[in-house]
Amino acid sequence: MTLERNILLGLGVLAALLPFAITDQYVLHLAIMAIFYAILANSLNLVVGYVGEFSLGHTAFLGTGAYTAALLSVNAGWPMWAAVPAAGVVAALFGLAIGAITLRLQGPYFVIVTLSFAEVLRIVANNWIAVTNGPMGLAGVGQGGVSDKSAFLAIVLGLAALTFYLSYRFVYSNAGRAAVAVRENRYVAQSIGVNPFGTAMQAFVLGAFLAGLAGGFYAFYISFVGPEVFRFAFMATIIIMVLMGGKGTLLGPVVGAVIVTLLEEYLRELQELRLSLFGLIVMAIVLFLPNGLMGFVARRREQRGDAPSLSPAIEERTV
Amino acid sequence: MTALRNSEPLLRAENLTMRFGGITAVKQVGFAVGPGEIVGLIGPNGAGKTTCFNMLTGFYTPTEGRVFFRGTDITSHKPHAIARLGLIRSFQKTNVMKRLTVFENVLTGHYMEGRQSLLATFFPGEKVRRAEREARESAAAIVETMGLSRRMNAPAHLLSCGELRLLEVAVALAAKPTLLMLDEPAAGLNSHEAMQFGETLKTLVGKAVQSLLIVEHNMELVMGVCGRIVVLNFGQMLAEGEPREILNNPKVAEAYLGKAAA
Repeated sequence: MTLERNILLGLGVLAALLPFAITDQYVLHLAIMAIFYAILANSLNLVVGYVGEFSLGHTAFLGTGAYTAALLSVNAGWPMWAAVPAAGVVAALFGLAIGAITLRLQGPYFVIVTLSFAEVLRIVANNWIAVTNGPMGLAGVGQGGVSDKSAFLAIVLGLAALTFYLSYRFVYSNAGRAAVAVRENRYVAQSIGVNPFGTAMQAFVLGAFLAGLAGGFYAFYISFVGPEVFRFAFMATIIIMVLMGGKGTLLGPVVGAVIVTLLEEYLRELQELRLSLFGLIVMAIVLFLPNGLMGFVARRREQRGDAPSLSPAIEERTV
Repeated sequence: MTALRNSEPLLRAENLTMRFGGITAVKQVGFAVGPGEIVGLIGPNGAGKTTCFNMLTGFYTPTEGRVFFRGTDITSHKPHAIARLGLIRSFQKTNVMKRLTVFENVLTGHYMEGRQSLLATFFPGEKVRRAEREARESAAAIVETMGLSRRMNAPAHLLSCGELRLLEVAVALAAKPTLLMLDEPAAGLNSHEAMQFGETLKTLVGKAVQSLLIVEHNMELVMGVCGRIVVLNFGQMLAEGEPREILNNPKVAEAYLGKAAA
C-alpha cells in the first residue's frame, strides 16, 4: 500500500518534469498518448481488477466522453476546461444507466452485454447523422483553444493526477475493500453486509467517469471524434494494457500503458504483422504471467521475503 | 418444547418450508434462539440444515413460513441487509478471501463499521481516519482472540484447514454479530482440534456475540458446547431439547444409526 503510493508519487514527480524536459514534438505526442492510455487502463482496471468483472464495453464511456466534449465544443463553443469535466459527468451518467442493467449479471453474461452496449453506441454514432455527423465524425474540436503539445501534456498529467488520486482513495478505502471482497468471494461479501451490486456500481461509475474524462481530453487533443472511438480495437488495446501490467494493482495499468504505447509505435514498421504479434504477446502473458508484470514483481518480492538473508531495506530498493 | 430463558428470542423461525421444484427440502420447521444461548442444529446428511441456514440468512427465500430477527420480519430481505441487522453467518465450504492475508480478511470483515459516503472516501476527514484506525486495531485484536497472531500476514491460501476455520469465524466476528451462525465450523478438524475450537466458541458468547447457532456433525463438539439442540431429519423437525435428552432420544438414534434389527 505505502510502497505503491510512493512509487506512484515518484512517477508523478518525474512525469511533472516531462513538459519541461521534452521538446521533440514526436516524443511529446508519445508521452501524451501513454498518459492518456494510463488513465483509460486505470479506469477499466477499477472494474476488471477490483470488482472482478470483465467489461468489454469500456469504450462506451470513452466514446460518450469524447462525443460529449466534441459536441459541446463544436456546437456550443465550450472551452476545454468546461467540456472535459462535462464529458466525465455524462459518461458517469451512462455508467449509472448501463451499470444498473449489466451489473446484475456476472461472468460471461456481463462480458457480452457490456460489449453489446458499446456496439450499440457505435451504431448510433454511425447513423445519427443529424447529431454525430455519422461516419464523417466531428472535426475541429477545440479550435482556437489550446494547440501547444506541451500544454496538452500538462493537462493530461493533471487529469492523470486526479485519476490516480481518486483511484488510490477508492481502492484503499472501506469501499475498495468491499469491492475486493466481492471479487474474491461474493458469498462472504454478502455475509459481512456488503451489497455486491451497490459496491460494483460505485467502481463501475467511477471507472466510467474517468474514462469519460479521458475521452473528453482525447477529443480536444486529436480535435476530431468519429465512431471509431467505440471500436473494439480500442477496447483490445486497453485490455492488453491492464492484463500486461497486472490487474488489481494501481501501478500495473500505468506500466502496461507505457509499454503498449511504445510497442505499438515501434512495431508500426511491421504493419499488418503488428496485430498478430500483439496476439502472441497477450497469449504469452496469460500463460506465463497471469497476474501481469506487477503480479510477477509481487511474487518475486514474496519469494525473496521468505529468504532470511535479505533485509526489507534491500528489498525495497531492488523493486 | 421451547424453554427459553428470555421471553423475546433473538431469532425465530416459524413454519419454514422450502421446495425446489417437486422436492421438499425443508418442511414446516420452527425454532428459536434466545439471547445468551448456544443452539445446535443437527441431523443426518441431507436433512436440510444448510437449506435452513440459507433461508434464515436470506440466501434462499422460503416457499412458506417466516423468519424474525429481534422482532423484525426478515423473511425476504437480501443477505447483506440481514447481515447489517447483526445476523452473520459462515459457510459450510470454507469461505474466506484466499488471496488476501489473514489480517486483510479480518479487516475486510469490518466493512459495516466503516461504511461512508463516496465523498468521504475520496476526501477522508478525521472521522474516516479514526474509523480506519479503529478497524485496524479491532482486526488485530480479533486475530489474536482466535489465536491466529502468528499467521497475521500470511495469505489465506497458505493456512491449514484448522486455521482456515478459525479465520472464517474471525471474519464473521469482525462484522460484530449479535447472532453468529456457523455452518459446520469444525469440518476437517481432528477431535482434539474440534474440542479446542469448541472451547474458543464458548468464550465468545456473552462477549463478542450474544448467541450462537451451530450446524455441526461432530457430536462431541455439539454435546459439549450447545445448551439446546434441534434435530432435523428429511427436512422435518425430529426433536428439540437439551443435549442429554437428545442423546437418549430413540428417534434420534434411529435417524442416525437406523432401526434396531428386527
